[in-house]
Amino acid sequence: MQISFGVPFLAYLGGVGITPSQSVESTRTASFSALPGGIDPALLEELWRKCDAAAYGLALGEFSEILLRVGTAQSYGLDPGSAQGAIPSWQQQGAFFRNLRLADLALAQACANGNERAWEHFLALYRQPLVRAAIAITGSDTLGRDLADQLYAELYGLTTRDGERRCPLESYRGRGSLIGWLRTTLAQRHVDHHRRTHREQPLEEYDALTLDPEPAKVGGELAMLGKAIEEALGRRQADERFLLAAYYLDGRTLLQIAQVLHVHEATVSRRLRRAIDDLRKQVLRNLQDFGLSRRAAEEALGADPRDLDLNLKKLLQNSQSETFQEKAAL
Amino acid sequence: MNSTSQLEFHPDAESLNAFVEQVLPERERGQILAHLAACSRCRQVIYFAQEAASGLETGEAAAVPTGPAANRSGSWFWGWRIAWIPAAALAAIVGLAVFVHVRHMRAGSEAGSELARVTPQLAPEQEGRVTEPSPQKRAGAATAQSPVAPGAARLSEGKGRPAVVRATSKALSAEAIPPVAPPVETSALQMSNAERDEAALPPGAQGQGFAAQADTALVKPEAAAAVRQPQRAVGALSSHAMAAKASQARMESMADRVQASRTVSLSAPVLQLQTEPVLHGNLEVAGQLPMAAIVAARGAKIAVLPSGLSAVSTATAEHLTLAIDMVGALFLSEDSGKHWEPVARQWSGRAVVVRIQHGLNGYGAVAAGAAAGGAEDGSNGLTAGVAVATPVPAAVFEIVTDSDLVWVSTDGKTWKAK
Repeated sequence: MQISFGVPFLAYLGGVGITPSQSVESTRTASFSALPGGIDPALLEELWRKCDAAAYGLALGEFSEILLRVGTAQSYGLDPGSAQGAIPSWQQQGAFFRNLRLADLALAQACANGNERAWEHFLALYRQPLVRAAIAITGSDTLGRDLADQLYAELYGLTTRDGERRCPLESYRGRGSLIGWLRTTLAQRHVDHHRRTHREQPLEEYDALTLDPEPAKVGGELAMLGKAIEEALGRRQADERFLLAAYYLDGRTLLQIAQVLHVHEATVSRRLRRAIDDLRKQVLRNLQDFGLSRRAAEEALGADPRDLDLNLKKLLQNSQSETFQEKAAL
Repeated sequence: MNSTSQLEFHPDAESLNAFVEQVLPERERGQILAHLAACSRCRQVIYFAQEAASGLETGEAAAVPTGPAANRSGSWFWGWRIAWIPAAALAAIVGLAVFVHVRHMRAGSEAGSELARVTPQLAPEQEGRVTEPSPQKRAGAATAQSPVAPGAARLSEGKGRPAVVRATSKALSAEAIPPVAPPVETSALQMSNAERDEAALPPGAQGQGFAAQADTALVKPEAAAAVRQPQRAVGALSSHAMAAKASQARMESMADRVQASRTVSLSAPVLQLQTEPVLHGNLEVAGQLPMAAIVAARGAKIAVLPSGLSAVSTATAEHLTLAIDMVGALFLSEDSGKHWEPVARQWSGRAVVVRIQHGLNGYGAVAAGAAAGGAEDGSNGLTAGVAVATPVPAAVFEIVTDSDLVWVSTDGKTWKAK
């Protein structure tokens, strides 16, 4: 489905009885009414003028509610444990709000509110970049345009959940750039779509992951080796596990990993080598702890990996310890 | 759903994007990283987002150039960007060298121009053609252009103080003194270092200091170096301090370079110092010689004295010319140097300088005292730009011996101690 966005698209939605202002107004007022605390009026005025929120139809009161919601959701950048139940000072509020992308936040919230001028500005700014990003993600012009159109429809509030129309732009809180948020959202949609549509296919990767094979009968040393590796991987730090997974499981290059971590390629290589060395030493120590001599432990490390019944992906993913409050699919 | 293959909860797009854009706090970044290590789905998301961002940046960068030519020139320039650094440094060095060279050349030309400014005032003394400006003109020059303070300018106003003018012209040296002859100290009007320093003082102090040193009998060692230079050392008494110091340095350097030059004192019956309208506010000191004396001095061909030696000091007044050779013998010429006759020694010691003073009618006594023992009063011999028609008094010759004794004579033949 190809949808021509912009003013004609908005006119089309108006023609079928859908107006953006109707879609989110009720939910916005309902969710902002219970926000506690307040913002320094001078700071609020300064930020409101700075991001030109009035141009998108955001009154000062609405802008204050948006800021309060964003700040409360992120505990104003403070440690949630220490800030629990405490109201941050105005200085802390100011420092937190000034680090946000308030102009993008105002635009996103105005679009979520259904402001037509904001939508026009949004389309003028992000239509082409978003289509290009979708094409780059999917690797196909057609698939990319479809993906971009679907996201536009979502952003406009055409999807409903629990009887209420939801606009994903409401979840944007201004920590990163709006275009980055859009790209990440596109990537999420694409990955989720791929996983949904390819789940029925007998992929070896997912078979290996979903099946929990019965441990084969292996020798004592190999069993100890597998357990030693499992324990060693479990003790690795998160950044080392990410490096190992990205490099060995995902097959990413050092440059790609470096771009994600914003470090130099050589730094990734050095960290990866150090992680491998530390992992090997830890496996040796574990084997010695299991009763093997050092020589026997080294001989055990020389075993053919194909003889090991070891799923590294499973081991790495088993080390997941954090949960997140938000689900992937909005 | 297997929790190991598909985590139930994932970071939202906001958190993943903030992780990619490096704006997360450290604690939350660690949580995201731990999740990414375990979640292939979120790793895929950030890989795709990163690739899309790179693709957008590449596309935007490719859209900026207007054509292939712009691409080629940009890449060429960018490829040579390392070479521009040493090239810029080399250009800066060359520019600095050119600047220093031009500045040096300009300083040299300034020295030449300053000497050139001195030379036109020396030329009349050398050639005996001193133009005596009209009283109105000199007064106007003093009032309009002299940087000397009015009080200092009037110090010798109308006094017509007799003074000794040193003439160290190259022409005279070449004519009168063989190049191999050793330098001889004369009773010239020298500008020693101290005097030059005084020249840099405020104008009110210049004239006095200059006059105090003007009649010094013997030249100081520092001044002797300046005497050796082919150009006349009596130069501009600059009111500009920096110009005076620069001129001093240049004269000293030139004096060191010139080895065999001589100094000939040329006495004049009248010295009226005037201010000339010279650029940079220089107060040029020029001697005003009576026409007869100048003509006599010009006509005196002091090449070789009857002793066979060169003259080291001469003085001319009207038709009388006295000369001292290298061994201290005094010779008299009554026909402007055509014929010489020795003068019997009537003094003790060796005569080293002969000079001329005017009649001992008041001013001359003061000047003679100043000449023998330096400045004894606060006056000086400067008549700065003042138009005074001073009558020329009768000339009195003086010789200075190596023991600083002064002997005087009116006819050049009979001498008595002063």
